[in-house]
Amino acid sequence: MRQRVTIALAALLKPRIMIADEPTTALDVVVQRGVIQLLKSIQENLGNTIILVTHDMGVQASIADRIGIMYAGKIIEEATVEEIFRNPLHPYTRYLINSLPRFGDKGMRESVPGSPPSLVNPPTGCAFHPRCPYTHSICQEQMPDFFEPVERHKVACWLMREG
Amino acid sequence: MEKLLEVEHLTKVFTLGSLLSRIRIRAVDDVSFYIRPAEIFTLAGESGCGKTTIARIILGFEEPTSGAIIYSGKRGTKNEKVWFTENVQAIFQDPFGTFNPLRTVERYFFETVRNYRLARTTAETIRLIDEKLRAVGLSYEELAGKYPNEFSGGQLQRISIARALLTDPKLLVADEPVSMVDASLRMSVVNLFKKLKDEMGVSVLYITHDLATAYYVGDRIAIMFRGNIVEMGPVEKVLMEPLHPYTRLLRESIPEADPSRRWGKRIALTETEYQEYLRVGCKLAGRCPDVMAICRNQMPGYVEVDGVLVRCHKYTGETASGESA
Repeated sequence: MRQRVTIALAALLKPRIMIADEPTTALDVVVQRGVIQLLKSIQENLGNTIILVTHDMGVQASIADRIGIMYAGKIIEEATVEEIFRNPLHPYTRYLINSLPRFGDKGMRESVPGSPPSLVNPPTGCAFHPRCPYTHSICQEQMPDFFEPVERHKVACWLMREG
Repeated sequence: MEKLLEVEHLTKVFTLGSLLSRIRIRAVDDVSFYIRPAEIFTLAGESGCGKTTIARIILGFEEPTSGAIIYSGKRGTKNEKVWFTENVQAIFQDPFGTFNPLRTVERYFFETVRNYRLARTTAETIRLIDEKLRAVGLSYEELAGKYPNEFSGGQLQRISIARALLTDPKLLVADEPVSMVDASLRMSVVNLFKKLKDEMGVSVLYITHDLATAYYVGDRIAIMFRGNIVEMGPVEKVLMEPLHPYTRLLRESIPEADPSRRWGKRIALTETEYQEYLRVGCKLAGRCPDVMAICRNQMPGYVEVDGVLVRCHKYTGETASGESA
């Protein structure tokens, strides 16, 4: 209920952009569904943009058009929601999606190995390299730029650059 | 059938408000379930459904209004708790709140060893600590002299589990153990419960609102709603073929990480939590798609349908008509 009041307040001036930072993290699934559907209908009515900040892959899959995946302060992959879930390219994104438990499937799920990076002393090169199973020497030296191996699907990973 | 822990007709009433406008809320209303040895039993439901209150009663932080906790045949009373803490250990939700940031993590281990007199010498203590840390994929060297801020949430949660294992417990009570752990590390904690069950025969009371991990790790599940267990049975049955309208609603509302399977119909959000608690009949009657007249007046009892206990008039009606026919 309180979150719906906040959304009403935010939508009052018919903004062109609404930023929703973890809008449903503190809510229950049934309420979460109501709030997300409300956000979506406001966005459709106003025809505006929502920047949704969330760690919940399920919520993203349910509402987003495009997704940018962040790691240690950088966007490392960006594509439409269908593309991200169907064809994740960055090893981190792949781990994230493959670690999600699914109904009807009790097969083993693995976490991303290692620990999140320290932002005080971030790793050199690509920040994901200490946890990446495909790491090369170049990954430790230089952060890759965005590269577009598939149309409208950008990824910052040396693996994709080499083809 | 052997039962490790049994909860019998547990009820907890909280009183809200002042003397003149007093509201009594039955946070836990006549709840009964049992946990077998080497079993992961999930208690699932939304926040405010009473699942944490049950955990707190089992752990002895809260006294039940009525009902009893039975541990391997022994009935717990207010005065005897010593036999309990060695065998039942807790894992809490917030790994960053569990540890004091100004104390080294290893001190918690040394204290537990001292409190339960688990070892005589320092060398013996360290060996024991190292053994338990290795069970969760860490080691004493990785821990020695470090403060909580030097670990990730997933690591701290595994450290909490290692500390709980020091006394060789039979049961871990884990209240939302992964809800504050980074999504990328969640499965490392969840997989650990599976491993402890398989390799050490530890039972886990897994309290969560996350039905996907409950399905992944759990053996049996109880779905709670507003203080009542509304459905209880094997996870495959309860989550894949839910009987109770509330379980269905929950199951449908979980956002799946699959953009091709978005929610269909929109749902209405009407009553607030405490209005639902105060309902006389079935607490879901205000928003149940299958509501009948009887639901508003009378709370249904349990019916067993195909190995699953369900508390819904839809099924009580069916059995009643089946008997009379």
